[in-house]
Amino acid sequence: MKLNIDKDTAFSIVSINESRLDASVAPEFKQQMEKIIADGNNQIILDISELTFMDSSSLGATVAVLKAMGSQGKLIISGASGVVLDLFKLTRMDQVFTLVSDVEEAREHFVETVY
Amino acid sequence: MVEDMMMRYSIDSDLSQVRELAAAFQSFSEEEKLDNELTGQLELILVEAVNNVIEHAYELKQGSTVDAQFEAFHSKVVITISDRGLPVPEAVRNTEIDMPDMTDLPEGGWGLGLIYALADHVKHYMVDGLNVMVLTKQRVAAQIS
Repeated sequence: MKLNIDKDTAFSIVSINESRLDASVAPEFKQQMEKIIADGNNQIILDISELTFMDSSSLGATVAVLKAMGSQGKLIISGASGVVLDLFKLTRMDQVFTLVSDVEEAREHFVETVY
Repeated sequence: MVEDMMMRYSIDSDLSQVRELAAAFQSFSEEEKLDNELTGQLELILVEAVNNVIEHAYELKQGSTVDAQFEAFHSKVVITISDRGLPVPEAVRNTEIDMPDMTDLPEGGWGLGLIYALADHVKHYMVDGLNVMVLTKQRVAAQIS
């Protein structure tokens, strides 16, 4: 399970460098993400643009990640498309997660307004 | 005249082999020239159904067989999954299942709901200890909004 983490000042971009996220790797994905969060990263853009397939076990692991981030955490999911996006919509989890088209759009969710 | 096509494939009751079955389905889909969107939805139906067999019928124990058959007809695709594991509970056999309530932040339980949402027809039956699930979908991808 290849995850790449790229740290910015206010957030981290975690990219899944795989084409499939399924039941066989969902536990590993959850474990790796929980470690990333435990290391102090709780403002995360999860880039899933390389995924062409995701099943409901992996969606469940992603929900577990969301819960692990706690009330002060923020998780933005970028790049869901095709049947991956269908999965979020059919399960209505597109109303739970913040889904954006790409990382640039995701960055806007971490811009602080200075008054 | 387009000939009807069929492919059979078997895997061990091992979640790591499900992607091998999915790859076999991709080959079948390419032969049948199914469009990408339809292929994606059928693949999701297939994977969710097989995951359910491995997790519930075989209780995640390896060493048993999951059989899959893919058939393409003029207007529909039929996927048949069979196993010799625990029978499908009566309460879920041939009963449309709702998705879990999203406000509960569920971490699972979507499998059957997804199958019923994407397939046009779902049938479960048992014969001589063999559990059979027949999933039918018209050769038109569902538009998900």
